[in-house]
Amino acid sequence: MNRFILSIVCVLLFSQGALAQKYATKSGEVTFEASVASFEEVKATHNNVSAILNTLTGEFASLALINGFKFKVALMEEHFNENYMESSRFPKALVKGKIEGFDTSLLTEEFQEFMLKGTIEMRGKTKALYIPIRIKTQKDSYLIETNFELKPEDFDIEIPSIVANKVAKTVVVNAVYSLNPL
Amino acid sequence: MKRRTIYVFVVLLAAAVITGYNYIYQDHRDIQKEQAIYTGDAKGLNTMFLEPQKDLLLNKTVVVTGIVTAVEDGGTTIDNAVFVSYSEPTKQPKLGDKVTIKGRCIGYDELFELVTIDQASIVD
Repeated sequence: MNRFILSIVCVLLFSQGALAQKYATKSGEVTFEASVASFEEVKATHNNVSAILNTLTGEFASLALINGFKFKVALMEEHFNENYMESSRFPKALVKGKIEGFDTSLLTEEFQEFMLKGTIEMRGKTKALYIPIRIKTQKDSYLIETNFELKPEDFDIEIPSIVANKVAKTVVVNAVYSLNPL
Repeated sequence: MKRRTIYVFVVLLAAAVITGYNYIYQDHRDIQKEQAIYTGDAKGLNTMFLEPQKDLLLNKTVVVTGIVTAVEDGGTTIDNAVFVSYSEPTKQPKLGDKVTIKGRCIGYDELFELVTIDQASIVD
């Protein structure tokens, strides 16, 4: 009888892990850079970007609150929020999509590259996104990395001519997430 | 006379350069010294984000009280309503602690249905 109860407890315990379909984080790190050589660095980092991955379907979503981007120069941060991103009107950037061909059984402790097909919604505009995304397992979690480029004009962000030569035409975005079972 | 003009010009120029430099490289906000626009419980702050009042809270300093309901590397969740990340990650409260924190409200995270606060520190 005791053995029976023990086996039921074991099945319940182990199936818990197998049933976890959603992996998530609230502390993803997203960095973007639009620096031009020999001018002041235009770079910001956000350490509180949230993300959810459904491991059954490969669906992925990530949300960054614009106000959370931190710059080295406080004034640059203020201009970024007030003039460029208008973060009081458009407080978030949202990426959602599906990782093509995603299957947890393919994952190892080495990064594997997949493609994420989806959209990015920012500043009231939604753009299609098709970007490489690297995934590996790390103990009980999944580590996801991606980098891609965005163009300010795609989101109606105007760079005033006075600073136009100090801000790169394309913005390089880098994201790292360590997703844990939800 | 001419020498004096040059002297005045140099002083004015130096003042302009210093003022300009201080303006461009001004300090980041010190959240802990700011007056909080909201003081209350975590659930109350969360429900405020369903109302038009949310615009008043964005990028503002808030003081929130509640029980720590989840702890992870980057921060803690309070009353399943607010996610808090701390200026000094080593000084995070523990699961089950009753805390009052002061930080900056950066918005509402629709994926988790939580209000997000950063640059926080424990007040009590």
